[in-house]
Amino acid sequence: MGNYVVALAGNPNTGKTCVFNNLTGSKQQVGNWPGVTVEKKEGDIRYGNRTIRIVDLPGTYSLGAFSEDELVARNYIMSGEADAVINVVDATNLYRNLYLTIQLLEAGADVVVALNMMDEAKKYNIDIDIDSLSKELGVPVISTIASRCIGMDAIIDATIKLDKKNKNRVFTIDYGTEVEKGIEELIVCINKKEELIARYPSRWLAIKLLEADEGIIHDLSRYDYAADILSKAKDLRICLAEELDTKMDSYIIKKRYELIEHIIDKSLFVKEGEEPTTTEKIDSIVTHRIWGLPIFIGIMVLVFAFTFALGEPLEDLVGDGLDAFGEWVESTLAGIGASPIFISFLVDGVIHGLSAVLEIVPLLFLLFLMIGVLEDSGYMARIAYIMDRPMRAIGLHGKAFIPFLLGFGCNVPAIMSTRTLDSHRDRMLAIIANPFISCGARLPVYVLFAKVFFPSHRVLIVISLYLIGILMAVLTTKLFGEKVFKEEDTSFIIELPPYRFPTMRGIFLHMWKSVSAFLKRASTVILSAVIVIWFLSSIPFGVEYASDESVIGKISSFIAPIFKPAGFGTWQATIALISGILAKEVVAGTLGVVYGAGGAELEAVIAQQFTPLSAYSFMVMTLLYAPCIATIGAIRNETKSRKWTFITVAYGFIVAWVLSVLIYQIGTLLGF
Amino acid sequence: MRANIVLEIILIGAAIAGAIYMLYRNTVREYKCGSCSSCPYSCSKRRDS
Repeated sequence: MGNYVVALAGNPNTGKTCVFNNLTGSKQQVGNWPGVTVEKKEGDIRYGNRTIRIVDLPGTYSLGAFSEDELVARNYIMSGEADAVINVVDATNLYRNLYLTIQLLEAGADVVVALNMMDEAKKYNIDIDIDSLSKELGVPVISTIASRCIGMDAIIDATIKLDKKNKNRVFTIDYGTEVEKGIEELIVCINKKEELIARYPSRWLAIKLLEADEGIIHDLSRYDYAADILSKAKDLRICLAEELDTKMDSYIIKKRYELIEHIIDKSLFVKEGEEPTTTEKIDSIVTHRIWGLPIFIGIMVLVFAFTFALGEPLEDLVGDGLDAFGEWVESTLAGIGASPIFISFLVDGVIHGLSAVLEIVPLLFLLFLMIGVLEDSGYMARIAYIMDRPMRAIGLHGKAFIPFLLGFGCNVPAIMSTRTLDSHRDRMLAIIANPFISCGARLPVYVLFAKVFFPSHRVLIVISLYLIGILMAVLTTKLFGEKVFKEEDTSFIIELPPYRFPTMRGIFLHMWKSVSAFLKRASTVILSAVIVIWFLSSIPFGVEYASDESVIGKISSFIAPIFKPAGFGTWQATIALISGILAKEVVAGTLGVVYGAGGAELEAVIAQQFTPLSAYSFMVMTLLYAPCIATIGAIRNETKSRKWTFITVAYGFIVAWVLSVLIYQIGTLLGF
Repeated sequence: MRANIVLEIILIGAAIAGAIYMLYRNTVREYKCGSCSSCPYSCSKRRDS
């Protein structure tokens, strides 16, 4: 038997990725907030003698064309690549979730409904008659609790049975006499075009044309043969809208919801609860219109305070270990008569370069652990809600804060997550501002410099840098929003999931993914970069290692004066910033190599080369100056514009330079 | 002694050549693909979506 492909579709935050991980044994990141999956992910499972490919689609509320992630899901469903679709439905919110189910059925997909989060539905006194729901929808409905791996086999069994039945059901909604007549007229026209029938189900296409679906109209407008259909659909839309006294898209949505109400009447029963739920109680405090924001800031301060309080001793331990390892390697190699250049390569290059970066692994572990707790608990989704009002002041809505939040981990997925934003304007603003959000890769520099110059105020210094990043992102959004991108009316729908007690598996998965990605980068890009920096610091052979006369010294000395007004016009600081474009972690690694020191020794050298003021200015420069190469690539891919990629990078550098210079010059004037 | 030096030169040379190649490959891939080297997606999958 051949491969069988099953797509996982559902609203955001219904547990699709959790189902995907359970079925495939994969370790994709799951989160108790919407927008975790913005691209489709694939994994294989064995079922008897056949292989089943599971494709996890981005969470969408409909099969419309409002945002990129919806288009990804729709294009995949309509491509016919999937033999069946498992529609993961949140049992606590059937009314909204069934809208996508109805659309999947209208699109002709073979659907199995996984009614997920049944345990939470029970907590909310929601009782669902599964047989009735299945009968109304005409598809199998399976009760599941993905977080506890319940019902997973049953979903696959039902999907396979669907295949054996090989049944192409026809699901139709009665849109009323007038509209049905219009649909029929369009179907007659569509059926005459073989090219169209091959790509779309006729009835589905006719409905989409009456809805004035932008994606479909744009697709069809590329073909001459579809011109008459588009024209007919436009006439019908105008005619029907006049007749029904409403816009066609609103009318069709209303009809779908009428059907959903009918299905819910038949299959869902809610026992009225007398007490507010725990989620409602917590939300009344943490999403309070006055206290919500201070509570959010307080939580972020606590996250960093916890990270540093617990992480510092561990960081020192790792640092001391790496120092001792470096000394041991040096003395052992000297003992066996290795040449000075070989010792320098291993110790100055590899060990010193990597130790400056690896030292902060315990801090990263703890930071990502805390972020994992916030995500899994459901608080992250609240942040978008809390930030709605401040974000509206800068012309965006709260949903646009999600890419900013993701940026604290890494700017690349953050920029990709802008696909969940509905308007081009919002996407562009969120992309341009995102590089200012301080990703985890910049942490080694903050930790190193804060440890040397601000040992008793490390947490405050690091938080101040994160806040400067947010402030610059906000100001950038405001500037570009007012001057470049015109105002568009966008709606804001954000799922506020119930609070859940974070699972150990979820948190450790999140933490492990982030830290392993960091370690992987350390063993590839960072290691390669520090070796190349060491090489350039050693040639031409015969000059003193990492001196002004080395190749790297000469090149960097030429550029270094640019940074002199910012207080760090040394060639070592310059090359650290340049190499940081490869990956931000490389900034700290390069300093270790060019100063030929690691751990306490590196801290002592930095204490001589910088002042507290120039160190802070250097940290601000590192925070803002340019995105790393992967982020630049993500910006280019998502904006599909070289011009905007260049503008984003150049703008970032100018902002970073101006702010660093201002900090240093004003600080000098004030006598710091 | 001479053999040791030759071995060291070969080791360092190979490490430098490998590092330059890896940096070049990563830089090109990361820019084209718009993802970091630890990203679980390949460029082809990204294009599909």
